[in-house]
Amino acid sequence: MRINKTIALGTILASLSLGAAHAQSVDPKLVVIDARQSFMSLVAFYSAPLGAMDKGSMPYDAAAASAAANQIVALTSLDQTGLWEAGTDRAYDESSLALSALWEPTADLNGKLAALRETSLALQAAAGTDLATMQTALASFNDTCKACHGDFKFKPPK
Amino acid sequence: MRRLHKAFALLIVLGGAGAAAALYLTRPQTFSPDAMANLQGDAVRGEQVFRAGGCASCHMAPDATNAGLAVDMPGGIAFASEFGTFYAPNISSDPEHGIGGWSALDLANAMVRGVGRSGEHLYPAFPYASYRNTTLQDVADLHAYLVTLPADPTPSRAHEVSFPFNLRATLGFWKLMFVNEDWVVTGDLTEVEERGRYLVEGLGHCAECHTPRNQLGGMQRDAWLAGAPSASGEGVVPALTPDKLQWSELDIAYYLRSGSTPDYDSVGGEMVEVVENFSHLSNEDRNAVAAYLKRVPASN
Repeated sequence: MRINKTIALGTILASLSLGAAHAQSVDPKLVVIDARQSFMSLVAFYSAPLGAMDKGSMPYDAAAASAAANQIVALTSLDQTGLWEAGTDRAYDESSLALSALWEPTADLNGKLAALRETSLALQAAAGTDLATMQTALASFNDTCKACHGDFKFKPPK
Repeated sequence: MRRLHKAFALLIVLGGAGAAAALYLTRPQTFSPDAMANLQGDAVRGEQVFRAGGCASCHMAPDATNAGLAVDMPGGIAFASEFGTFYAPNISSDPEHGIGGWSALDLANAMVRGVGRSGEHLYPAFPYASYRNTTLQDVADLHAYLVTLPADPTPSRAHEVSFPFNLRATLGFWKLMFVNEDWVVTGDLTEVEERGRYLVEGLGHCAECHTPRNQLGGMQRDAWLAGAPSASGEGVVPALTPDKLQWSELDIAYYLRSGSTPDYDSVGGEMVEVVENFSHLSNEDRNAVAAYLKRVPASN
C-alpha cells in the first residue's frame, strides 16, 4: 500500500512539474502574435460577404451586409491594447509579419487603430442602405488595412 | 619598324572608326520635331495616363503616403540597385527644377525614347523600356495634365552611379540590347486583351518588377511576368502568369480596385500604391488588365 501511495504521489508530482514546464514554455509574446493574427483573420472572414457584394460575385443583400458589418464592429470594439503590444514584431519572432517600424512613434499605430474603428462604425451605418453607399464605406475601411500593410507588413518570399 | 608603325596607325584609325560607328549606332534617338505637331492634349484623359503610368509612385515626395491622390511631384525617392542609387527627379511644373519648361515632345523623347531634354540617354530606372509603346496622344494628354500640377522648387538630386555605368554612352548599348518595341504577348488578341497589353506591358510597367532581369538589368522576355527577386532585396515579387496567379479575372480586377485579395486579405507593400493608382482607372481598364494576364504564357 505504501508503494502504491508513493507511486501516486510521484505521479501527481510528475504531472505538476510537467504542468509547470508547460506553463513556462508558453511565451506571452507569441500568444500576442497569435491572437493578433486571429483578430485579422476574423476581420477578413466577416468582410467576405461585403467584399463579394462589392465585387459583384454576390447580389447586394441589405440584411446580410448589415449582419456582416455588425460582426466587424464587434471585432473592432475589442480592446486593441494587448493585441499590439510593443516587442511582438517580426524582429522578435518570424511568425509575425509586422515590421518593427510599426511601433515607431511616426507610424502612429494608435491613430491607425482609431481609423480602423471609426471606418468600421461608418461601414455599419452604411451597410444596409444601398450597394453604392456600402461600397464607398467599405473602400474607406479597406484603406485603413492598407495603411499598415503597405509599409509595415513583411513581404514573405513565395 | 616603319611597317609596324603603319599597322599600328591603321589599327588606331580602324578602332577609332569602329568606336565612332558604335557610338553613332547607339546615339540618343529622338522623335522628329514635328512628330506631335497635330496633337492636342486633354488634361482629364492625361490624369488617367498619369495614374496608369504610376508616375506618382516614384516622383511624389519621399514622405507622401497616397500615390493615388498625390499631386506634388518633387522627386527624391531613392532607388538602390547593384549599379548605383538613382533618385527620382522633380517632375512638377516648376520651370527651373521641374519640367514646367518641357514641351510635349520633350516628354515623349524622355518617356518613349529614354532621352533627356539635353539629348542625353536616361537611366532605365525610368521605365522607358516599358513606356516604349506609349501612344503620342497619351503623351500629349499626360503633358496637358502635368502642367496643371503645382510647381515645387526642390532641386533634383544627382544619381550616384559607379563606373562604367556613370558613362551615359553605355546606355545606348543597353537600349540596343534590351529595349524592344515588339509586344511580348502576340497572337490573336481581342480588343480588350490588346488594351490590357498596352496597360501591362506598356504604361503600367508591371514587368519592371514582376519579370526577372539578366545580369545587365535587362528584362528577360522569355520569363515574362514569371516573378522575380524584389529590387529592395526583401522578399520576392510574385508571378502573374496564369499557371501561378490562379485568380479569376473578376478577382484580379477587384484586387486592382479595392486592394482585397480573393480571401479578403489586404494588398501590401509596393502594390498598395499600384492599387491606389488603378482604383482611379475605369472598370474597363481593370478588366482589360485581367483579360490580358490570362493570355500570358505559363512560367513553368
